[in-house]
Amino acid sequence: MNTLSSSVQWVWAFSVAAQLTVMVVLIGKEQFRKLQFFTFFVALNLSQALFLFLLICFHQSGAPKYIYMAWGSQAIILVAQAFATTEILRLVLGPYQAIWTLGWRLILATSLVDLFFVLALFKGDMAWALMEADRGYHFIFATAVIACLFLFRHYRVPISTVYKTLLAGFCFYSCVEILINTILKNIFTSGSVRYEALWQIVTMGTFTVMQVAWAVVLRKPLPAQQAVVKSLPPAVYDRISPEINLGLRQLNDQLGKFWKVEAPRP
Amino acid sequence: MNLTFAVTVVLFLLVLLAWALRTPRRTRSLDEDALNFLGDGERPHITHLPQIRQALADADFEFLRSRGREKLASQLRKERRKVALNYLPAVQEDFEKMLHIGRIVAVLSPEVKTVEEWERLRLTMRFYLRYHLIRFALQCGLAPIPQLSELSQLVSALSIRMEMAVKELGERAALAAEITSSFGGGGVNPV
Repeated sequence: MNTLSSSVQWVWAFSVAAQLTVMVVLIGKEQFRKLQFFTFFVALNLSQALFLFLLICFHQSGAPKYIYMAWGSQAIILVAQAFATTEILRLVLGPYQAIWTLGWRLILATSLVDLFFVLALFKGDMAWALMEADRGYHFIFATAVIACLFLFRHYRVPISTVYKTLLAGFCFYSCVEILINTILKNIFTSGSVRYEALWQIVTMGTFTVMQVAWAVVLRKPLPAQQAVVKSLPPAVYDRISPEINLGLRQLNDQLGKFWKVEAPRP
Repeated sequence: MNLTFAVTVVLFLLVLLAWALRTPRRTRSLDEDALNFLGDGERPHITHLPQIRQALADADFEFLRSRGREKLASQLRKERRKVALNYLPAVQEDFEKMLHIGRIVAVLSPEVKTVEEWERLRLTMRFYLRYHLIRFALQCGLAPIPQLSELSQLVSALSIRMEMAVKELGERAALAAEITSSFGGGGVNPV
């Protein structure tokens, strides 16, 4: 039977407590009705914590079977995270059909660009392939969420603090995962034996902080579901949008001419 | 991916995240802007356009120079440059109003064209880049003032065209009511 260091056990305990708190808030405040995938994600995380705990306690941590089982559970969590995030984006953009469609295209485009980038950086090191895949996923995920937040900002789509915090939490956690996965590889190759404890403490510590923030914001009621906005006739967009773009283009051309005119006379 | 590169990427992502999440300086929401634009409130920039154009015209400088009043002409140019600098934000405001109509129409449309939206975003970025360069050049006394007159005319003409297009489509009242009801949710802030 393996044992975790006491510091890791403490972080683990805090993390589980924070996740339980989020779950209690979700159920107690009946937020789960609206955030179904998100609730499922939290429940899966709790299940994963129990699963990994049992795995660590009763299996040899370096065994390939242990590693594949642990990473397998992580893959499920990552899929659930993507669904939970999409659910939040859908709740924010739901009333705005066109922007939601645009958001999807943006997510797809950023994901494809990132995927190309991640594959280009992969050096064929199969021993670290799973970790690199995890890092690649978090990179794609963080970029896509940030792109969507920029989309909200550009179109001034109203977003409640609750949804903003949930999305920011996911994104921040992904950034930490990218960093720790890279640092971990460097620490491991330098021969340090403390890398696993460090990895557990940093990732779970961040996850716990994120859960606490979520528990705090989820205590407030979620904004009422907005009805789908009654759209303008498509002809309005087809007519006004090109006209605005034409105007902006003319304006830019005009601005460009500033530099082609001789300097003021003294 | 080496460590330095990863740290740089993560820092960049975190800065972008913070930027995307920050509350805008101007907290006017979509509905307020739209209603201001569509409403009957006066638009001071267009109202004062003839005076601004006159102030920016070259005729006065030419006249003073022809009378041998070089010093006065130079002083006048400096003062009018200040006027131009003060007027630039008004040009920007008109530009933003126009841009905003584009946003409102996109938000309220059942379908939008990605190419059109991307083109607008690209043009907006170009506008701001050039705008700030011109502002800087004006501050340094490098940009020609008469060009600003043409620019202000163009922006004003475009604003008027936009307003007419919206009016012509007969959506004014319906759009205003729609926006008011759609964006009036309490406790929700525009990103």
